Amino acid sequence: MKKNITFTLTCMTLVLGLVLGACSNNSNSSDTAATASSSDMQTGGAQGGTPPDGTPPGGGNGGGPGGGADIPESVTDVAAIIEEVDATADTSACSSDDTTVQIACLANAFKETLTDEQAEEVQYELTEENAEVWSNLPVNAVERNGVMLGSLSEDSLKAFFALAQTALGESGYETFKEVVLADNNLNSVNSGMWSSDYYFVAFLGEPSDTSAWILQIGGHHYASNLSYNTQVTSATPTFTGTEPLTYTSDGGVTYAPLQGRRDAMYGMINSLTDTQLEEAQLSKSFDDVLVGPGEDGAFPTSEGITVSELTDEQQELVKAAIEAWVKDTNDEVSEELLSSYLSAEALSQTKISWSGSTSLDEHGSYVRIDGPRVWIEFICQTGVAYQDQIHYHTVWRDKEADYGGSFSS
Amino acid sequence: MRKLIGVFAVMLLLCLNLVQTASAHEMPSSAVSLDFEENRVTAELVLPIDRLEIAFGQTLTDSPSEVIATYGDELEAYIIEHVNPVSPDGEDWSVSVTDMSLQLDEQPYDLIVQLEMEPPSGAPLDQFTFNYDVIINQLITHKALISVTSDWNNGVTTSDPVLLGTLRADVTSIEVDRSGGSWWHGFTNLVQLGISHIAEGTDHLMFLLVLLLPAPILARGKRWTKFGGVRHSIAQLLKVATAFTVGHSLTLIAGALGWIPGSSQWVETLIAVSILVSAIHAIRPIFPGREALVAFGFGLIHGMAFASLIEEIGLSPWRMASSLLGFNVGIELMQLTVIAATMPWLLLLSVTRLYRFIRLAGAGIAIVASVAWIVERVTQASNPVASAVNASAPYAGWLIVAIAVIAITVALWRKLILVHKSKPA
Repeated sequence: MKKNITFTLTCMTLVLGLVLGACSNNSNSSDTAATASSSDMQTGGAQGGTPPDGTPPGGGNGGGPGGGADIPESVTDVAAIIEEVDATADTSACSSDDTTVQIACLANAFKETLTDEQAEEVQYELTEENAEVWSNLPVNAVERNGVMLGSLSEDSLKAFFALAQTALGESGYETFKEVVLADNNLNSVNSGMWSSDYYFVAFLGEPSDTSAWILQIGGHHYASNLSYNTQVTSATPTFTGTEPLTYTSDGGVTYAPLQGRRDAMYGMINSLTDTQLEEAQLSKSFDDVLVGPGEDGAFPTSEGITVSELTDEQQELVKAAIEAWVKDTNDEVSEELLSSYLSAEALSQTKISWSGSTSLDEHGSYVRIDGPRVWIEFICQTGVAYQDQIHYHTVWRDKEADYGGSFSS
Repeated sequence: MRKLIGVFAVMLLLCLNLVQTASAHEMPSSAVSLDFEENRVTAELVLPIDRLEIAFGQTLTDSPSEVIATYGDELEAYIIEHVNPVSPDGEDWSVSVTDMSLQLDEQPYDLIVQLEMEPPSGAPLDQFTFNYDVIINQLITHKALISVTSDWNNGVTTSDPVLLGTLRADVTSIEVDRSGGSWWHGFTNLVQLGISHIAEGTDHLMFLLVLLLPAPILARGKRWTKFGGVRHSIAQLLKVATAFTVGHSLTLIAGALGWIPGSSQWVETLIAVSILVSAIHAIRPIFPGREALVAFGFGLIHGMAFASLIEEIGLSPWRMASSLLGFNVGIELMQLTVIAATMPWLLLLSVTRLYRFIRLAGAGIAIVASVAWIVERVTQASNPVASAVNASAPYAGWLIVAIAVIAITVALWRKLILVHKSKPA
């Protein structure tokens, strides 16, 4: 009898040991875990089959971290630091007359501050598949390339801001900062979707003085693709948007991120006479930019009223509207682009058009500038976080030089 | 591994609303789901009303609930004009609206349109150009996601729809080619579906195993006594498994044909109760000799849970019958596999006194799990015990391994003792 009990106890211990062992080793046992995860995989797989709006076809995981909608952990408060760091970041270590050299130097200096893992995450190959990974959707819906700003150390973040300031120029950096801070405002509405921390930086190609590379900065309402040593100088595709239209930051400053662009477009389109407006009106309706993320190269036939038919005053307003986008990059790049976009020849082939309304304060109000190279769209949409307000989406592209002309066929 | 019903419900909801939820982030999109039937294709269009009105030209958002009453005929005409499947030799298919309804529970509100599309005689059903520009004809930044939600011959079912593509701007047609499918492909798909759903259904398996726990032993009065012999054990096993199968097949068929309601909170709860009852029975016989009857009765309830899975499949009698057969074959295959993997060890152990502990431990686990599930399903809220049970379910396979090891160890031990005892004799 005693023997029997001992035996039973031994067996029970054995069972317990086995079960515990099995549990702790589960990650290695594909055998039993397979049945468990198959239901998740099924739903997950089905979801994967239906890309959310704006997902670039075929893109999404070229060489980067795989987890699509997984947002990395934040360790640094991006909103606080971006407000604190003034537009006079320390770039002394990389002083050079040539901004392309300076930007490559700053990019490498930023890389130096990263952990090995981050340095690997930030670096991509310069391929079309990698380049087209940008979006205007929240980062929980569509993944971005690169390292997330919120996951960087404070030192790395400051090194990134020095790089961004030089690459985007003063006003371009200001726009970036204000769009990023808008997401700090949205954070109180839905912290899983929006945060100033959820912005990313990636290098497509190794930053260099001579060989081609793209500095890609992106997050919810922001994407820029700054190309260096590429076929053509370029800062596009560039997406900027904002919700809310105005907000007061934690630092107590009131910002209206895209007010300058909105006013420039409004001034331009509302300078037209009734007859001109009729000629400039598009027959179709819009509720977003047409050539947005995932629509590389999908420019429609030009429509609208030709700029060279307008009065000098009106033409000045068109130029001002184009500058509202193009001047948001470093001077060297913007000067070169503007001289091409605003040449008499270019303007004679540039059309402006609108749809919905010209008020730029209601859903569906849409204005477009469509030149031989420059392509700018501005659209008002019903808000997502604040549904009783509207918000802006805008895109600037270059028909010849998106991604520096690296992939044009 | 989560409980089967939960997975069913979540998956079904996900699948049905899949396209909507995926695109609901920012810009409402249209969703077009194609169902390939035997001689026609039906389509369900989910059209956000606030976008539809832009293209339709009449305000619909002011009184969304009145949309069909006010503009039914005009909307029908508008939709027919903008949905044009064309056969490979350029002939138009016939398209008709069979139903329109409204989704007003959640923003953005949707108009849901059911279409019936038939190829001209002689043209293939599985190959056509799908020209579609509902809403997009005017609102060119609008997207329509085109997917196949059921295509029996290609093994596509509502639980796993296939996205064909997205229409937007000047891309308003898509080449649909679903050729190459077969009855056999569809059938094996359903068998796999049956297998995977029983494999994921912890509660179904637990019920069956717990009911089989006392199968090898004899009841005397209010107590379980000793091993009843191999013949008794196998007879019990066959009776119970067959009765359960007959029971759940009946309600599966009835449910799939729409004769009885499918799964619900109460079906789920009753399934958990069935585990509790058979666990108590495994401790003290409460229905000795009537296990088969109980298995049949509870089988009826478990079948109701399966039925909701294939409600959406197979609209013709032939496909329905094929689906039911395939799905049921899958369920049986998986059940038999689990029985085959478990029962030999239980039989080996049942001749020893140790079996009492195994039986009590098994019943104990089942009682804890079933009570937790009952609470979870009645209250519709998770509780820590149920969460722990659901989380540990994936490791259930190791329990079988453990039982197998014990059974083998015990068998060897007994042999040793016998050898030991026989030596001095």
